[in-house]
Amino acid sequence: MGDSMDNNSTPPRFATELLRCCSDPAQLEEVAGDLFEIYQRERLRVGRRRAAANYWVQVASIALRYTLKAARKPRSVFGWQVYPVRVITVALAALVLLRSPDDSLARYLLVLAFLPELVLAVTSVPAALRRVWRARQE
Amino acid sequence: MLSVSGLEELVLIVISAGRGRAYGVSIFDALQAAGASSSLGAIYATLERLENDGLIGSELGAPSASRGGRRKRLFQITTSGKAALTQSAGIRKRLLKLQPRTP
Repeated sequence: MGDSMDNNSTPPRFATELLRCCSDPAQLEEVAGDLFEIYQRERLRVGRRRAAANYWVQVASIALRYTLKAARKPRSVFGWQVYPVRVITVALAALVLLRSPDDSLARYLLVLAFLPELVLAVTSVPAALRRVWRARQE
Repeated sequence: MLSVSGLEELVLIVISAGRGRAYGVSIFDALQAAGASSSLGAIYATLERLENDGLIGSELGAPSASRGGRRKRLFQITTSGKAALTQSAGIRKRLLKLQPRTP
């Protein structure tokens, strides 16, 4: 929060940069404006430090939301539709299977929790293969 | 008809009361004043869902100095939004009738 020491009326610069990096460019103007307005009001009401802390909390919640949203969006990798969140989930499930002891209840519970994503990942393979096959034929 | 729940309903009520002048900060303030405080991130997510469902519409306002020269997005409730709100209020009313009366 010391990054705003140069100008007390300016919100923390690093937080604003984080917002710029993580948020949707189409919504950046209104989101940054809302945060700026709240920061200025809070600065006069509770002081710069608390206003800056509040600014960081709000930016973190917005950045987290946009990051999760981006992770759910499919990306095209060599013609394959890859869902980053699905890849992470399957990797975690594989890690749990490999690392936990054989009789661990946690292992079964975690695999059960990941089961819907695992099913989705496995069932999406034939469709992906069909896409690759069609792309090769074209 | 689309149904709304939780924060969506509260945000719809605030937007309906705002008469086309509701925006991020005013919604955030209204929820906080009513004791239903929520993060801006959750409010933006709710607004996006409501707009995708056609329950609210939005337009960009004029830039202002209090916002560092940035414009605000003004939200207004649509006919579908009003219908969803009425439906939700009806459900709530019917469920409240199930409560046992105190002697």
